[in-house]
Amino acid sequence: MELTAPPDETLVDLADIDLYGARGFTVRDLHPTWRTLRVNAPVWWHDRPGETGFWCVTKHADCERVVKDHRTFSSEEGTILASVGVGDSAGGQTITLTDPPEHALIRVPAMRTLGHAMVQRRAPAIRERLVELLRPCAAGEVDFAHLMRRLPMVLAGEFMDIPERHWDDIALWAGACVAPEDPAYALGNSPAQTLRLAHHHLFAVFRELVRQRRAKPGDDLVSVLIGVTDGLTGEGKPLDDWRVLLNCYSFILGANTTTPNVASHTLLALTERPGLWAQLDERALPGLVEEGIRWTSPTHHLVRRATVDTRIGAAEIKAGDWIAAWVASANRDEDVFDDPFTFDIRRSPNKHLGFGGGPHYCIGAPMSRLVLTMLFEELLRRYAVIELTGPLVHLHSNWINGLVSMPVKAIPR
Amino acid sequence: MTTVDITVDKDRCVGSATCVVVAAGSFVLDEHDRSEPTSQAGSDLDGVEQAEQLCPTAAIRVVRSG
Repeated sequence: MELTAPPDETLVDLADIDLYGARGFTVRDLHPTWRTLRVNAPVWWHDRPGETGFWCVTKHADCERVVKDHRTFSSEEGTILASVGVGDSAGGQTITLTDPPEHALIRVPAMRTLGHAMVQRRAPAIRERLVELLRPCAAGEVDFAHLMRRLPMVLAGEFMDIPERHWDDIALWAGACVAPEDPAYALGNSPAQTLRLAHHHLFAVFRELVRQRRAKPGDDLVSVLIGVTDGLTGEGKPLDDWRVLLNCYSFILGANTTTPNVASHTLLALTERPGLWAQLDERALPGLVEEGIRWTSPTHHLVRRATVDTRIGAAEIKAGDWIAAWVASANRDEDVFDDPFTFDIRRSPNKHLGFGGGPHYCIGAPMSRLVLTMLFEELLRRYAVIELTGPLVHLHSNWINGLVSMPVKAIPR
Repeated sequence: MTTVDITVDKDRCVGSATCVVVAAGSFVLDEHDRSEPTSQAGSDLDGVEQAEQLCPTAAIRVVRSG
């Protein structure tokens, strides 16, 4: 979606708010809506005629509480708006859709593969693949958003040991799973059919990977998942194939939904501020990346379901109610960020919720930060300026702030 | 004698509680869901070093001296 700085007085009518409707997310900037909610209704019941409604929390403090307090706000039945009222068929089985203590069963072994030490060890190989990925920029004109589809596969290729011949397909199918309504990912005649086809193709690839790793285990994430034993049942049984596959899916979706969009939106913010590129040096890049994550907020929301009756502010939440924590709104909260609508690479501290928080804090955060920093290092080293040359195409999604197309021209130093 | 200094940078901590899981007894979450080392943290060095390595925001520092 477009990211703009709405004038202070811009507030919308609460009666006009529809945060569920997928088409509405395409281009329209939701920040005026979220700011209206922060100011006038920080804990707001979102009605859906004929369907299950949900609470919207938009303040930083409330969003942080909802994602951290897993005892009150559970992930087990779904973590996106699409699950509200219907649940998620993988509920209780994946790293995303379990609560502590079960959650640690997969989280801790996976973190051994995705943590800082492993990320540093794999950094040279990742840089080599990244430089290869960026090669088309040298031709001058390139669709940067399209190029960035491969960015998470550079990481997944390394960490999950997925052969390069699958990368483009997996990125396309993962995109279709994330935004089956988007024309760029329409594999079928309807969003439901697109989703079915994308699932079918992805699981076929994962099934083959699992078969190979069972025969010949490595130090990759798929092998780690195969090696996880369900200690909590007291029987120490390994995860069955279906759970391994569901978790492969969870990791691939996590990688594909976030990092590429932060990369594109951050570059877009730079093209819109031509003076900034010239001021960048390597020391400024970690600040650029953090601000890029805050600015983009790649996931608009994180959903949880209340396990008990509770209160958020003045609102009485009933056990079983669904709650959407609008982290993208939290990342513009005037009570936490000075000039939240200013893109400020020197912002410090920058306590954004772009990677979530609490037990489900993005497990890929170390590698995402590494690859995003590397990406801008490599671009900065080669190019004197990068300009936007064509119209932007934004993703149709009520969940992910994505760019589908972003034509740019890179001018060498 | 070896002494161990264990610190948590509370500005970096995001409350993932990874440390609480891998080094049970050595870390607790405070009232703001930020980690802090307990008085027993020095007795499980392996666990504490794992927590340092696995923290998703590298908020834990373990320094051995002596």
